[in-house]
Amino acid sequence: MLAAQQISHRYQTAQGPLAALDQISLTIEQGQFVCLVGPSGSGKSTLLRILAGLLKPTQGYVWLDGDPISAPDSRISVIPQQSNLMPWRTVLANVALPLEVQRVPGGERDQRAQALIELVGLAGFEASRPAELSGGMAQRVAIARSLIMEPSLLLMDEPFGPLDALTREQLGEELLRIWQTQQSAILMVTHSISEAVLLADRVLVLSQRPGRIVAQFDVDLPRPRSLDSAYSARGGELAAAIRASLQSSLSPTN
Amino acid sequence: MQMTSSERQTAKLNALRMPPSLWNRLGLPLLTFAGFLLLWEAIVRVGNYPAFILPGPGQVLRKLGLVLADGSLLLHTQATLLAVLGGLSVGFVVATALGYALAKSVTVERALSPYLVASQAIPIVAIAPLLVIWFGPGLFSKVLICALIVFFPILINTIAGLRGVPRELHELMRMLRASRWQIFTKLEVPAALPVLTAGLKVGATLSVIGAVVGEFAGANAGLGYMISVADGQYDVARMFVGVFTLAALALTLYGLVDLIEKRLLAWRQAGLRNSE
Repeated sequence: MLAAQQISHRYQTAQGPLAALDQISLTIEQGQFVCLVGPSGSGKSTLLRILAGLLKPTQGYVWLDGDPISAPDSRISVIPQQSNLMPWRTVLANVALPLEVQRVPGGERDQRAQALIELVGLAGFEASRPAELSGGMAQRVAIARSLIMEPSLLLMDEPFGPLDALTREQLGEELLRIWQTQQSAILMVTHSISEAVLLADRVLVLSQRPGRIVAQFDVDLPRPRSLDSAYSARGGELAAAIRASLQSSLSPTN
Repeated sequence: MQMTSSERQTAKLNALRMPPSLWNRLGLPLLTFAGFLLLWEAIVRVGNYPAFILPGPGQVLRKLGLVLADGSLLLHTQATLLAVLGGLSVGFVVATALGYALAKSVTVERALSPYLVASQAIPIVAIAPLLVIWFGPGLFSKVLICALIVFFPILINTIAGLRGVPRELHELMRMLRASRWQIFTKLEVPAALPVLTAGLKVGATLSVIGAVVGEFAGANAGLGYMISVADGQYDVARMFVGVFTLAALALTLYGLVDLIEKRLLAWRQAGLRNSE
């Protein structure tokens, strides 16, 4: 469904060009959950911005269902690290924003937004403003907003990054449940190996700058999964293997 | 999806906070005012000043009754108010439009910003007489002076407000493939509004000053004109009435903008309550 071919990217800085990504190729099948792990500064966010059509790579191409992606596309949604809600809008109006931009009539708009708010467990908070929500709740709103266009691909950039460990695990499990009700494929950048094992069908390991894919792991844990799956023997094995590959990508000899 | 109980607790607590009491909002400022009047009266009595140097509160109050009765205060207040509101409107429209262009285009900013900054070095008092010579002592020159004086703070706040729109929200609108107009109405205007209304508040009080400056430079009506005529007649009580009316005018305008701001920015109350 999504195919990226030989993507390289260099930033122009005051100190000269800075290579962020080096020849990255990857494919994501329909409905697949892929996690991207890598050290900080491995160009994960850059890659996500390129896949979203927000940034033009120095080299390489991205295709979605056979169409080249060079600008934002309605089939792709992004959930950023900070929930980037509009503070002047209520939860309902924030979730409905994408439909509003597409000029979907008000009644249908609110109905669809309402359904998603219920899906992410925020029923009763439709009229609240973002400032009244906790970090976890705000991220739920951002998830609901990104799902409202029924995207075929969801790009998540460390969506649970700023949250505490407990909320994070809880939201991870919730995300699994939500994903199973949707048809979207997900590509999620994360720092947490256990999170990647819990969620993904496939884990890609990125090297330090310039980012290259140094390893791929198929997570063959049975679905539906829960937190227990990540802590199972097989889950532990996978996590250890991913950690080892991350570590070797960090070593100076690499 | 279940929310943690602490999440629900925070949400409930936020709804319970009370607004400040009537006494705190009105009683305390009134008490300060009463204290000020007493001090004033005491200074007049102790110093035994004649009315043409420092009239007491009672004399000023009698003068107020007089100018209210003969309709002159109303007439002059109307003239000043017209200039203030006219100048504020003209200045606001021009400053926000230009501010938008400056914030959006580096070229426009490079071409204009040195002159805009330099224009602030010229005191409005110095060019007010010039404007009165060119455009006459009527309303037009006053509106112009008010517009000039409110222009800069509103311009600066427009630029600051637009520049302060979070990059992530711009990116969000790009992801949603919003049109320029949608970005303007759904993102830029609401996001810049808090800073913009702050500029408007400053502008409202400055506009009153602008009107008086213009009326001092040459006019046939207005509170500034009334004060300047009273000055020539050593009618200090009448000058006091003029000054207090001007202060009341500025205060009312400020309060009005504040009220509009609270209406438009009701969403911020939630955040303020939360961060207390």
